[in-house]
Amino acid sequence: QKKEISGTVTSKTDNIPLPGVTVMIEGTTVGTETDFDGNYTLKANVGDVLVYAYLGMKTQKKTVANQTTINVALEDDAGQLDEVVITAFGIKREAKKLGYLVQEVNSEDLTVAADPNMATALRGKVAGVEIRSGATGPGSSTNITIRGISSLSGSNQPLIVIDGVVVSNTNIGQGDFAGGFDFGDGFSNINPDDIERISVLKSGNATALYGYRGANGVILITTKSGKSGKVKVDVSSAASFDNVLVSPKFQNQYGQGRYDTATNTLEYNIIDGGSWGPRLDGTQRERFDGVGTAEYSANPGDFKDFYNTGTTFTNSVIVSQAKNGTDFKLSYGNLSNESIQKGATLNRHNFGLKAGIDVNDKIRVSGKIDYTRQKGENRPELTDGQSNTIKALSTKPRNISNSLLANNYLKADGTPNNWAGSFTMNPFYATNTLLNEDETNRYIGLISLDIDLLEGLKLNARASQDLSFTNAFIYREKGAFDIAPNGKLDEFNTTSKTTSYDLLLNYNTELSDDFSLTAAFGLNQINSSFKSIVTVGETFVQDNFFSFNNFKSKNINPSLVRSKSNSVFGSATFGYKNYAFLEVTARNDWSSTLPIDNASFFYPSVGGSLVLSDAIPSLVDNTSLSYLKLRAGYAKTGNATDPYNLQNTYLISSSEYNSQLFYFFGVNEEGAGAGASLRNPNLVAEISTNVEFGFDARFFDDRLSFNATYYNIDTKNQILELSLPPSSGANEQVINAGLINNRGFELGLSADIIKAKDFNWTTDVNFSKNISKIEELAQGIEVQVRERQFNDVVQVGGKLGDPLWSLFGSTYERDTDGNIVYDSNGLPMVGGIDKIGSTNPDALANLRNTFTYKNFSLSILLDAKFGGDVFSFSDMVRATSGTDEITLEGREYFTGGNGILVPSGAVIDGTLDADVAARGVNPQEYWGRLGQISERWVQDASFVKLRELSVSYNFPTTVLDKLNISRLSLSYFGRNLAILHKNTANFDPETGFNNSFSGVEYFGFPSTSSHGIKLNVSF
Amino acid sequence: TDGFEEINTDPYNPTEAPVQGIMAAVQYYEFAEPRFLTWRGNLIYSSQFANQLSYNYAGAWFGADAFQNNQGWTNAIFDNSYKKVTLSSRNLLKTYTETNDTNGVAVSKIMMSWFFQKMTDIYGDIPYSDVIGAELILENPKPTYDSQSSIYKGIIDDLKVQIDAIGSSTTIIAGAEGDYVYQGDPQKWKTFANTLRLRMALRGRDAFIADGDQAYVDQVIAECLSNPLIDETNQALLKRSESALILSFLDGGFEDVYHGFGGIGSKFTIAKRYLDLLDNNNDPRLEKVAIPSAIGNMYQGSAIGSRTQIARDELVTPSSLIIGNSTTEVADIVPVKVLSASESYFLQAEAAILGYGGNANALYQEGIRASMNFWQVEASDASDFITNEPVANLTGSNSEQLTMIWNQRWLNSLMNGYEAWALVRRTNLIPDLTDNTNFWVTQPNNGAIPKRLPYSSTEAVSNADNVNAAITAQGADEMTTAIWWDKN
Repeated sequence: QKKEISGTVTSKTDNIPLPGVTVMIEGTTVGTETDFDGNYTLKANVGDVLVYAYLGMKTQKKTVANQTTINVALEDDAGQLDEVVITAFGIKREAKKLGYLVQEVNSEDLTVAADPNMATALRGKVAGVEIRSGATGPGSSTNITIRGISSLSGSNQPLIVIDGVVVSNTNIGQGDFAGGFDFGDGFSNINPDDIERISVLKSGNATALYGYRGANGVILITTKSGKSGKVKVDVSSAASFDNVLVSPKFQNQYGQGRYDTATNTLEYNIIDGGSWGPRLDGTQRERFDGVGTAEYSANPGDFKDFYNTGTTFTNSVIVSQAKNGTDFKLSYGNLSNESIQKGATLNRHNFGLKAGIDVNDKIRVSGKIDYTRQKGENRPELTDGQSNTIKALSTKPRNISNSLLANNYLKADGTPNNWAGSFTMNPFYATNTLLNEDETNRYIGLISLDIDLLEGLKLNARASQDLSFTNAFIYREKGAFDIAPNGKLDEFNTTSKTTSYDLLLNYNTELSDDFSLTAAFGLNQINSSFKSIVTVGETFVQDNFFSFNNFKSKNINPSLVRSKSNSVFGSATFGYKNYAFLEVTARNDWSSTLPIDNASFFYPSVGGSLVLSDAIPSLVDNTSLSYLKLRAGYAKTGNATDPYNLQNTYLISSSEYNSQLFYFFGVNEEGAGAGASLRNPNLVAEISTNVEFGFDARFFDDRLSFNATYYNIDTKNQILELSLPPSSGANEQVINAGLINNRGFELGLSADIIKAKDFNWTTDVNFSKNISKIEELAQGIEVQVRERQFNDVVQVGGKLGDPLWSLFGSTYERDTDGNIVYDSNGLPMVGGIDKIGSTNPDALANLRNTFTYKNFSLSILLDAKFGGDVFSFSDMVRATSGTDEITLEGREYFTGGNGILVPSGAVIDGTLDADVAARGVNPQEYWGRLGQISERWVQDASFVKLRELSVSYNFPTTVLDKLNISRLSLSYFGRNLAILHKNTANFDPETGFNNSFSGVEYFGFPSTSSHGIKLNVSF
Repeated sequence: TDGFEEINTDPYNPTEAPVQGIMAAVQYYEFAEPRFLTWRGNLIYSSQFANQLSYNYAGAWFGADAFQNNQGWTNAIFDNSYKKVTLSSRNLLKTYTETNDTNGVAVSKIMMSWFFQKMTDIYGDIPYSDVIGAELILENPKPTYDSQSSIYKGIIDDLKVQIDAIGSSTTIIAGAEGDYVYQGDPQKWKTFANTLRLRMALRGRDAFIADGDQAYVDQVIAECLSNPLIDETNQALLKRSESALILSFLDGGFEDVYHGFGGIGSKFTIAKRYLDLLDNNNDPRLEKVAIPSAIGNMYQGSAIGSRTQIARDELVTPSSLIIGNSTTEVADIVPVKVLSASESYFLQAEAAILGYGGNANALYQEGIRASMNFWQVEASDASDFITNEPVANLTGSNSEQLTMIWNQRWLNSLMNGYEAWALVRRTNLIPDLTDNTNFWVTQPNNGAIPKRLPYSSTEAVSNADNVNAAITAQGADEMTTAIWWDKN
């Protein structure tokens, strides 16, 4: 007969209630956690053993007898950090039984700096995880890779599971080379305040139960739930202020115009878009648009001044309770963001309800429903897009002031008033006009049934769905955009649906005094679909009335991508004397994406752990080595492919050309569009092999803990969109080929450096190094090209024998000794196309120091990436357009002085022109030439950042009791406060092009540093 | 696994295509070219190199020094031409092969030959023999580069094979509705093949002779001349769509470049040499191709490579025969000249001067007449021109007469920059720029019309060995390296 047990858990040292203590019934997955007052309630049988576990405290066990109240005081035991962790399917397990390390991030650490984007909030907190930041603020998409890149053409993103619901992380749209907007992804609309903890499953053994969908790792999110006996309300509010972190360095001495070779003078000319004109002298000259005059002088702060202080307000209220076998949590959160770019806003509302009820002793029904509504306006345009303000400000002639542009941003006909130059737009038009908006409505639902079938045998059945609708519009007024001078409306309607069904049987038993067995068997089915309807209208009937019906040409393009998988899996963990454990898993998947005869694929894993500190009698009571566990795992992981990879399909032209539709292979009919990807009806599942081993050790009574993991992953015969030379007629063909090896190690170190009554100092360090290598590509192929869209100025690809990814582009012409060769005009010569960089970082590291003094705490997080290159289009364009500070060198050339001198002893192809030898070269010609040498613009992307800093004050209970508040804390926080080290002069090395890959920067939206205040109240 | 196959079937895009749909795609991409390709390949490069169209004016997006390489554009022409044309061409050949449509097989091979001639003329050695089969997926994913001489020979020989294969058959090929040029008529394609063969034999003649293949080329030319060649009844013209094309998806040609983009940056004009040659000879085609400048009402053209940039309003505007009236009013635009009657006559006139028989002057005048007819000049104006203008009568030495023929062929080839550029390279019709004060006489070409385009850097990464082998065989991968047929 189960009865309700409640109680309070406190800290033995100071008698303060402990929130978040895990209370589990031993040998089961049943359990709860204490609330902020340290209270818990759960149902247990007489004779059950309750296990109380808490970070930094020694675990205690209590056997349930007749009492209904069990109060526990836990002793400090710093270092015991991962006693109980959340593993696949949300199962809480003792870390020591696992053959792998599960790294967790708790709510506190996740939200310490109030980052409204859950993915970026994770940065610097988990070893071996690289998170590329959202390009344009909290609502933008992110890219996460765990243990390096293993797929040569597909996604490398992990699976996301929230409370057991497999959710979609579909990206609605990102910029490409020609422009575009980042409308966010599945991550970007989750409310971080509702998250209780995140487990990152990295190894094949850990993700085995998720099957092929977890092949790139799994991010397991558990949201908060009701735990306290009484109704509890948690309120959190934060306000933060964002400012541009890095501004490019501009020259402020020369303005618009050019050097006239006929007269040998610098001439001001509004027709020339570059800043190669006369020295800025404060005189009145023809205004940029030919109307009147304007002062010809410098505008040093114009880049930074253009951007405002962005604001982000987040609020969250969570009401929860757990009582008499029922629990619920009701949450609401909102985000209101105004970007540093005027007019760009994001608003998000998250509603969540999570509840459970014990129908009787043996049956529990629980479920949840989350609703998210997000609205974005005027998301900043990226890359080469005409309304990209970074591009405009970077190339704007240095004499044109922001105020001049702001006050005259429209021409009389209502079109943007631009200066000369190709595809540029007055940036104030971009910020004063509604150029795009988007709205997402997302529903995540789960219903779950738990039944205790027999002693030790439990059944869990659940059904869940993630359903999301996004509607986005891109508005182009008449005359505003060169690519659509007659006006254009793009409308995107997408529906993303992921439905899963799980059935899970769990069996726990003690086989004998020494042997225990935990076994699981499960069935799983997942259906995914992504439907998109893109409508495009071009050429207004009535000017600037944005309705699909109001265009002369219209086009509708629907698409639907579907997949289904069925799976059977099982696992068994054998325990010996509670210090040696062996786990085996097996899984078979059937995926609709593979040929019907190859749809089924099987893969096993085996892992084990040995707690030496318990197994070796002499170590049991050793306090200098208080814990030592060895672990090892071997796993095969299968992977299927994307839908529709088996059969070529034709694209039909959007309209008739002389009464005839075209049928062709490819991505779109436009001449610039990518070519065809040839499909393959004979694909088989790819299987990768993971080997990992490591140890966890704690020293000095757990004050110092250390873990190390080495892994080696071979991803073989992967389903690959093999890039082909264009001369083959296709972009790529889908084949099974290749072998990618990723190996590396992850180290974690935690130390309680100072532990005193009023003062504590703890340090956490993560360090990881991943070495990837392309061991094999397809027969006869040495380079797999991932991206070639940048007008081929730079290409991103993988080269046989090298890590992922390499950058390819034009090089300096060099002689056999490697010296740069100059032509007879004194300009460096353009060499052939070759590898010019590698985007693969050497190592990632982060360091967190936390200090507490009485009720104050201070947390500082440093985050670093070492190595890896980035190619900067922006630097290249700023140099060729004469706006970059580096273009000041040699401007005396124009007034008869020296230009950029050819280095003495330079290797010349032919004979150096005598005049050039004497006074160097025209700097405009020099940078024009270097604009053709991609190698020049590759830079080291290493950084060390002050990622997060927070100072908080917890009001003492003496104050709180009077207010009837259980917790009140106030904190200052900062994010990305400073880049302590970088090698890129003009941009944050984390700035990207889009989130599909790193290594290319192209007028990326500036990253921001944020300061803010956060208040947490619980009552 | 019930329903898996249905789930994994794209509900919106078919796996089968009607043959006319494949044919239409091949012809559109190959002959008409979508905007992106035609802008870079035909306009910015070829037509400027050939001194026909010009982007040299104040406010243009493209540099005044037109003889520079922009690797991105160069790649675009190579990569997108191959990707848009060759796969569909192989698919068309495969379709006809599988259905035993022998005339269809011949027509698809003839169209392939036309394409590879255009491509080899731009780059020199290119992938050819590996990519002309009837399979979508190549046996060797990295095509090898064939020498230009072997491509020329290969095409010339293959055209003969296709001519013989068609023989006297008049069986209309399947998918004739998609054949914009000849509506599936194999005899017209046979004549086309014969004319294309003559064009290539004459272009390669000096090189063949230098290689010791005089007998071969003489025989080919003689064969071509003794079989029907294109005249005004069977010109290979591809009518442009008379209705507006939808959006920028299915982009158009010159009108889309000219009107489809804001500002004056894209609004090309006509080059000075072209306008002057018309103007100085009272050529009635002048007012057909150009609208006098908005300011000054002049037939002022822009000089290629000039350091002086004239205001756009002081230069002519191409007429609606070239650019229509807007992106949506395109009915005026003349057809794409895939192979025109006037070119056929000029080829025959050249052959006549070279001693292969025929009345050179009569053929020359027929060529002028056909060209004027194409540009919608009144027949009486054309006759007046031919009767009265000295330039319409071949006189002087053989080489002077050849220059006259070439100049008229050059005038006729407006809007087909590829052919015009090939012509001026072979014939040295346009002298190098040497006046560095008034013109951009800069590296890499030092005022000379580029002799080829560099290879695609995409290929240099993904097909490195074969590109390097081609460079070793052909010479440095530069615009100054002459290709095989460019003997002087």
